Amino acid sequence: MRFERVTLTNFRGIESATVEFGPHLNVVFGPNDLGKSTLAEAIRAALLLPNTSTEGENYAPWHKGVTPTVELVFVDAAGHFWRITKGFRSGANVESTLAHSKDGRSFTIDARGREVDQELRKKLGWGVATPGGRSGTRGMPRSFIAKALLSEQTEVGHILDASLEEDTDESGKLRLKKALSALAEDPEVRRVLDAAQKERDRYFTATGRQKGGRASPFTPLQEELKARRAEKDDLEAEWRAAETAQSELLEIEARIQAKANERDGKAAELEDLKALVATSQAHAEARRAFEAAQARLNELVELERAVGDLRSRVAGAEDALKTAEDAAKKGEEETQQARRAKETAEQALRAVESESGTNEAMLEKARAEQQIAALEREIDQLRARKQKAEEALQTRSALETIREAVARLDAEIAGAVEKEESAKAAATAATGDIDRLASWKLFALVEALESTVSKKRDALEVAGRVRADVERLEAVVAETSAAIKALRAPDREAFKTVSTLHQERELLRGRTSAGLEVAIERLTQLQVTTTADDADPVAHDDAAGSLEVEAERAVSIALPGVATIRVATGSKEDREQLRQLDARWSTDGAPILERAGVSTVSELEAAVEEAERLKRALDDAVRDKTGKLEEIARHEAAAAGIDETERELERKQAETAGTERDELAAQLRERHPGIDLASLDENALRTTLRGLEVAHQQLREQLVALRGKAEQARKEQTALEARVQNDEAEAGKPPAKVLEEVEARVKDVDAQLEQLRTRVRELDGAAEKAAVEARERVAQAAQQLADAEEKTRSASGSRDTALSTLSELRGALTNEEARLVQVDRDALATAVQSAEAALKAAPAPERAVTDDDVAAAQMEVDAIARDVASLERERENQRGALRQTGGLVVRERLLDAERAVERAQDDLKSAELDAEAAKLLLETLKEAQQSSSAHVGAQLAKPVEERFRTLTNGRYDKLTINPQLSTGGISVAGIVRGAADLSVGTREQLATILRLVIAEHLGAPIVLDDHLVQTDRTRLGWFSDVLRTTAIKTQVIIMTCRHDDYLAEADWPSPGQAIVDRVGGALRAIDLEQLVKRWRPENAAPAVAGAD
Amino acid sequence: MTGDEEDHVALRLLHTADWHLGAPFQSFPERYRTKLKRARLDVLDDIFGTADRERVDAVLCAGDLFDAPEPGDAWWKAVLKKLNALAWGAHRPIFLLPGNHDPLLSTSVWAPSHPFRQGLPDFVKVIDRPGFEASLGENAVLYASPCEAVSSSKDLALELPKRAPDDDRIRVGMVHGMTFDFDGHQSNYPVAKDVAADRGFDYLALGDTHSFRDKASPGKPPMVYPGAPEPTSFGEKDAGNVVLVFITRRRRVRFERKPVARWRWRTEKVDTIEGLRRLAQDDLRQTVLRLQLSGALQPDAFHEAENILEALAGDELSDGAAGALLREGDIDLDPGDVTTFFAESPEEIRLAAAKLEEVRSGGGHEGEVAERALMKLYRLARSA
Repeated sequence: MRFERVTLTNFRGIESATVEFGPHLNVVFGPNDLGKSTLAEAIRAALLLPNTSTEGENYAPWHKGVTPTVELVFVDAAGHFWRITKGFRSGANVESTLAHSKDGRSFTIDARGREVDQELRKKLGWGVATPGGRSGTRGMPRSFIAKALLSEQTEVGHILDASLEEDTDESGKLRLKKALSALAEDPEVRRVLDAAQKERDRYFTATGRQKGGRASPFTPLQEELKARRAEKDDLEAEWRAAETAQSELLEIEARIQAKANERDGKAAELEDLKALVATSQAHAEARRAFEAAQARLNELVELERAVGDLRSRVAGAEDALKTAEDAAKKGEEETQQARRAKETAEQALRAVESESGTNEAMLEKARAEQQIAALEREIDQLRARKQKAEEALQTRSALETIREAVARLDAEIAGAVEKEESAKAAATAATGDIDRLASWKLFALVEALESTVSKKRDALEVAGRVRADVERLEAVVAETSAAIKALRAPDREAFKTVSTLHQERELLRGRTSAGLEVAIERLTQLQVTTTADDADPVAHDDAAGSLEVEAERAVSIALPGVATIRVATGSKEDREQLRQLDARWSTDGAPILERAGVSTVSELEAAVEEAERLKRALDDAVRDKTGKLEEIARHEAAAAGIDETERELERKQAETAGTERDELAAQLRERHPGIDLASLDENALRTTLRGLEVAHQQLREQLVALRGKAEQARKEQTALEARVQNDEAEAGKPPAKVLEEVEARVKDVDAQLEQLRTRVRELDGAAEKAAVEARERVAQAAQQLADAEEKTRSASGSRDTALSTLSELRGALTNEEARLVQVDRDALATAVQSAEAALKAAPAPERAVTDDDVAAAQMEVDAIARDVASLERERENQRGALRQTGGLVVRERLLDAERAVERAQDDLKSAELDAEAAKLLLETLKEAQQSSSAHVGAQLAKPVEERFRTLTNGRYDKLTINPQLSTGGISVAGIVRGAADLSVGTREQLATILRLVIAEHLGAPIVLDDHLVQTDRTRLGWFSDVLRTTAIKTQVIIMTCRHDDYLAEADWPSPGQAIVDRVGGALRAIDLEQLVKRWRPENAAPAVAGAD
Repeated sequence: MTGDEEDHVALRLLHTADWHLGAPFQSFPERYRTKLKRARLDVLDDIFGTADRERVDAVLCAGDLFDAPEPGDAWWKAVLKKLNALAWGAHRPIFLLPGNHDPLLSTSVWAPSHPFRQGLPDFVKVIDRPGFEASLGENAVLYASPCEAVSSSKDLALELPKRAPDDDRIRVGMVHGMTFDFDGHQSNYPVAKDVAADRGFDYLALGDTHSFRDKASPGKPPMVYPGAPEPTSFGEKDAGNVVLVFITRRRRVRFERKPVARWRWRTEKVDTIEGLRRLAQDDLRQTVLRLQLSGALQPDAFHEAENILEALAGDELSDGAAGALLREGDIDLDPGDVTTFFAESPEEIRLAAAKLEEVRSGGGHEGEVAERALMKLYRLARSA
């Protein structure tokens, strides 16, 4: 940076002044009170003081109501001109501006008002906070750099007491550290630091944020990790589906196995039962066979016994026949004898009876006895009728009982039918529930699928929209890339090289451009060819007379055949250096300008800035595009499988066609009041259904049994009713009536009998006594005859019987003996033994099994078999589902994907660790640099103490400047002395050296306002040399009233001349008196410019 | 095989499976993936070369020949080219079986309309239907069934026909699936125990498992997995083979594995510089090396170790000494010796090293970062 010119108007005692500074050493001289310090103050005010500050009021001439104004033009490191214009008047609407220019002539305003100071302080970087902030100060701002470069006349030594801690922001500190750190670093430390910085910059931006976008080394790693994770997530989802399908299949297979085991167990039980039935049947068959064989053997034994018996009986019958024949013969003889005795007795009776008249009584008695006999027969008949009637009554009673039983059974059947129908209806309803629940759940599935499809469609739509953004961004990227390419601007580093080259070249051009004017007085006719600077040679006429040539840097005069004279400004070294720089410019500078299509470095910088702006825009667009692409990928991933889901949805919707969901729900709610439909479990419903089916089956069986019993009872009832009808038909009246009549008749007959018997007894009582005896004798004879006849009949009967018996027995014996001959006794015995063995071989079963038991077991087996079949269908479905999954292939790929994710994570983690390590290393190195003895204070101290040692002939040695750049002390003869302990002159010399070193390393102009007034001539001479050396590197402006301290007489401006440049522009002498127009108040005190 | 057996050999087969052409090797860095993918294709030359030398009667390829049902065009084209280059003719058929990785689908390479299928020479047969039957010459027959989905609970071997009582031919079966030794996965193309005996096969050629195995019970007909001809990952025991099968007229079976792999997958644990030096002496050009590093080395050894590791790994532009290198863990710099190493460095570097060592010794994440930073400083200082 350097000051180009400053213009003051109405500023303190100066009405107007314009001072143009040279780029190197400027000695501004003039008498006291001329306004040198005012000039310095105006520069400070222009750079640092906001124009609205009340302190600006001090700049107004005290006797005039005008606005003090300063215009300062400076050139920055890039060669740009900046013009500050400030009018200081509190409360007045006076504008300040900051303008820039590439050529120093036409300026463009960049900022106005408050923004002027904001921009300036940012640009200067002198450690002064931007105005208006909390750290801002009122009045003229203070900072270490401002103090070093523009210290007031009264503050010559204050720099020794100052430090960076007084600054209101960090910019000055950073700028100084940057400038001073490069001073005397160990090259190894520098290399390590640069390398560490480079590593850190790979990962982080200048502001410390982690780099993003394509420039970031994390981006490909993050993208890799993201891609691998997405892949892994997809595979995990696929594997979960496969696992679920697989585990469900395994579960179904386990259930099938369990059911099959149960079925096999039940089937085995069934077989056992069947075997028991078969065993039982075989045993019964064997028993029957055995018993039949045994019976046949028993029959044989019986036959044998019967034959034996018959034989004995035939013998007995033969004996009995003989006895009977004897008895019959004897009986016939006794009968003859008795008959004769009876005839005798009868004759005697007839004789008696003929003597009495008892025949009438005997007839009555006989009639009575006949009546008695008749009544007794009737009694017998009545008894028979009575018994029959009683039996009919019993039949009627039995009929009533059976009728009641039938009615009861009918009632039971009706109840059972009702229960059976109820159970059937419940089972049907349960089946309906299961179907309805399945249908209702299908609706829920459809709803879920619709939601999924909707989300996926939304995702696709969003992806489409974002894709449009991407296309727009791609257009921006293409357009911006083309624009960058079209600019063909170099990067910032290359530009800096060009700019530095340009500045160095300009500087040397300045130093070698002192201006030449050669006058040639040709005394004779002479052809002269002159060449000014780089222009083409000019041949002058072959004539006599004067000739003048003007040039900036060199003039060449060719006198043909005599000599060629070359005159050049500046030192040889500078020219050589300029030549080299020109050569470098033609290879390193000009081509870059040419490539960029510009003619000046300023234009090139504008192109570089434009290219950087475009690159930032490009980075933004690329980052946005990457973000959009990621967003598209996210949405597309979310929409993946939409076709399949839509097809599934269509299938499920087709399945729900014709079904009303609300109706289903209402039916289910009606059937299951108070239960959340979602919690309805199909398996529970199926279990209920199975229970209902079993109950229904049991009820049906009960009903069949009841109907069987009722049928039997009805048959009995019909038979009884037939019997009752028959009885009534036979009796012609009801049995009760019959019974009643019979009992009445029996009573009547019994009375008649009693009367008749009484009459007989009366007749008997009056019989003849004599006849009784005769009769008794007749009776005895008759009895004897009867006995004899009976005896004879009996004997004849016995004989006939014996004969008949004998005959029968002989016939029977013949038959039985014939049967016996036909029977094979041994075969029968063998058959019995075989049947017995077979019976033993077919033992009775351990328990009795009925056909019902077998049927029940068969039903159980069938039911389980149906379950197994159902599960097998389910298994087939699940197998189908499994085929739709990725199976173990997915698992293998998932394992690979997991390893890939791990690797990507490790890589990213390692990169992150590397980034953190790079950052930590750089920070640690910088901290170490700060805390090491080689800190910037020490770096600053080295050249200062070196120069101070030279100045003081080695009297002073080690200078201590701490890291905050405050001066600690300086050792003299091994004893450290504080800066305050130095003499005023020595103190101002040390301060001046310190300020010069700072200015030198900052490349900033320094204003020394009457600074070495306490310095002796010798040291002043030394300083004069140092100032000239320093001014080669940076601009130095000395305000002095003793210009001979700094200027040789030859360097003085001519009288009346305001400015003169010497030493090829390295020195400018400025006679301020020639440039300043001071106020000359007519009726006022003498003008006072400042505190000179 | 003895001379007697040779005399009576009626059928010679080469049995291979699980080529997994086109497997992505996602867990490897990009620059190794292509190399490992190509290796899977290269081994086919050795497989077919072995078949030629052994004069086999047929080549049985038992599934998962491609890693996916629709591999990239480059893969099937390359296989097609190799098969067409064989020009064996009908006397040595090659049977290709779709596995669960490359099932028989309407869109897969096995579909009749696919250019791969259409371009196959006549002696190459695709098992494209359940219960496939083909003659293997006089008195020998092959039965096979393809996988028709990526996943299924079907036992393909159980679906092959049983030996009829009067059938005395040599019967060979071929299916792709898993025998029951993987808990929890019996439902994925299961292969029932001793199904070869049950179905009356003299030899059951299987595919799926990447290691060579015979799954039959003692005394039962062999049920053999040849394993992958090129290993696909670390820890695959007995991978890298094909199986040669010899069946005599009396149906006695002998089989032997034949190594064909060109690549070796090797895991090494190294924690000393000596171990690393020894490893570097080996010819590792055809080795996929998993290097499990640990331990701490003194600066010179550490520097040497870094050089060896760089030489093994190569970089993006040139191959390293190892065919492919996967590094796990790391060798650390011995911190005690770091201090010594920096003793002669400028003060700033010494201070920085001391500070980093202090943070490193505190452990935790910060310690880890500090350790990495310390190593960076070491490298920078060493190269400065």
